[in-house]
Amino acid sequence: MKKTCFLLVLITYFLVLPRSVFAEYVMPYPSYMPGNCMYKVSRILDRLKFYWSRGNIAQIKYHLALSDKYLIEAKTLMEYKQYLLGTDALRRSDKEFMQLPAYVAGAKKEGVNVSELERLISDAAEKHAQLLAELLISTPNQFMWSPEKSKPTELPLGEMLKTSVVERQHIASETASL
Amino acid sequence: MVSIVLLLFFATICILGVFSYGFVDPNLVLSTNQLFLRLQEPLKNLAYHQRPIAMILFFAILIGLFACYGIFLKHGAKIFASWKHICVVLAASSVILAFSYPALTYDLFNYIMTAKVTYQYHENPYIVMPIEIPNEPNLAFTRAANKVALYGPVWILITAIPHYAGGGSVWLTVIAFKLLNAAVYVSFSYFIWRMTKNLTNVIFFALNPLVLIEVIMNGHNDIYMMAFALFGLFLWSRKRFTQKIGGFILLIASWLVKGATVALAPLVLFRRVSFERILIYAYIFLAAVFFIVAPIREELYPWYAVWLIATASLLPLKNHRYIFGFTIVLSFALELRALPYMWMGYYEGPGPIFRVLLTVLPVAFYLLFFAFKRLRKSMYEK
Repeated sequence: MKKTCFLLVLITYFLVLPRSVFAEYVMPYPSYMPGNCMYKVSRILDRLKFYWSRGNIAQIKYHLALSDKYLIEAKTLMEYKQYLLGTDALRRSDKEFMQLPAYVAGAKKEGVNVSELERLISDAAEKHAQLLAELLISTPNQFMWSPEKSKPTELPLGEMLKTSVVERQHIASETASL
Repeated sequence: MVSIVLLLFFATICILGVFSYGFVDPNLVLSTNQLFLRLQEPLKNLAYHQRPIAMILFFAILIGLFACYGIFLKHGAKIFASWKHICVVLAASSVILAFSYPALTYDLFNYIMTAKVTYQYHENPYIVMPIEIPNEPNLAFTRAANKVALYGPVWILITAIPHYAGGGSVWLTVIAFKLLNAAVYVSFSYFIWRMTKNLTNVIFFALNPLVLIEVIMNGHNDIYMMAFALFGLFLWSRKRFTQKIGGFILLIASWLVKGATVALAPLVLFRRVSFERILIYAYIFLAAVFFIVAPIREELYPWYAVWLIATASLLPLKNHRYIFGFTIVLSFALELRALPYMWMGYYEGPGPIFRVLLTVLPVAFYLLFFAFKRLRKSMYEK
């Protein structure tokens, strides 16, 4: 029941309420997936890019790009029912997204007009929430992940996805209020 | 005669410096001083509303500068008694042009903007474009603000000096950039003098109108790239190991200013080759980049000729007259490329055709003249 109500609210929020949209936020194509020999290289490069992305605006671009990338990774993995890996990617995506307000505040402190960045983050949050809502429909609320040689893990997928949506909305509103 | 030529030269430089203020971007306020604004008004009117007259005036300035240049080249030893004497002339002309406006290009404002992104906003200029800082007032008169940094990290480091020296004022930053260019220009001229001990070689580079206009007036950074590359190649050709290492470091620094000198990389592999030969190869490699790569990438920009002028200036004049002659004609032809824009006020339309014609025709005439001269000489010899 709760899930249905939540979905209804989300659908109303994204589809029914009229809103002016200038350009749709575009998510990236899926990158290397776990199991691919280039996956680890890709993760190392992601880490290295942190040091290259000096500055607040560069850090916003960096963290947002990673959040997008990991969210798409999570979506792809969950579609293939690789829930354990999918939740890990989702956690990483959340973590990257949560970094954003600090850098927006930093840019503002440097004297940059951050209205465009705020809009970008708001658009991203909206798009992320839309994808997460789609995932909520297609994934089970709870899932018991039982690997062959280790203990099973219970994955509260529904809860995790809802938390991710709420976190993104919270970050978007926090950024806008800076 | 000497004083008349010098007087004509400095008068032309001064006219060019004053004339340049007519081209101040309409969105850029250099000063709110009433006297300055009153003086600038007729110049702006000339540059923006009397375009054919402005073009003729610029053409006359070019003719004047190239005429003086020709006289300097021919009678340099008589006009300039020593390096010190010519150094005074170089310093004076570069100071006058350092206080002019970069009339024929917006590149200097791109340098300023990139430096601002790096040092004021503390952003990585290779990731963040100036346009991503929407409240930045310099965007009003900066072109290519939608691009990340186009030059290497060594150049970004160098720009810290004029950025901080400018203290946030656009005009002071422009002047600081150009004074730094002037310092490198005079230093490189001294290097030519030390290498060749020939004042004509110094004149060939330092008093070339294209060098004066593009390096000092318009403030292009090609002089840094070439100074590092040629001094690096010189050190590389020495025998001592430490000099070789120093030369290699300078060569890499040159690549990290602007990538064109990467074309000189094969020269470090050449063994037992004289520095003169290395310079000839360097000229050929840079000419290949200039004539083949540059037009494919964008177009033949006049300031790219600084690569060839700087390289040729270190060659013995007597042995390579044809290279000197070709480079001089090329520099004149390239400076003519500014005329169509001055006349029309836009780059498109017939502009590209005019620019090609203005570049190709003088060079073609020179090559024909050169071929005819060679033919006549061989006939006489027979």
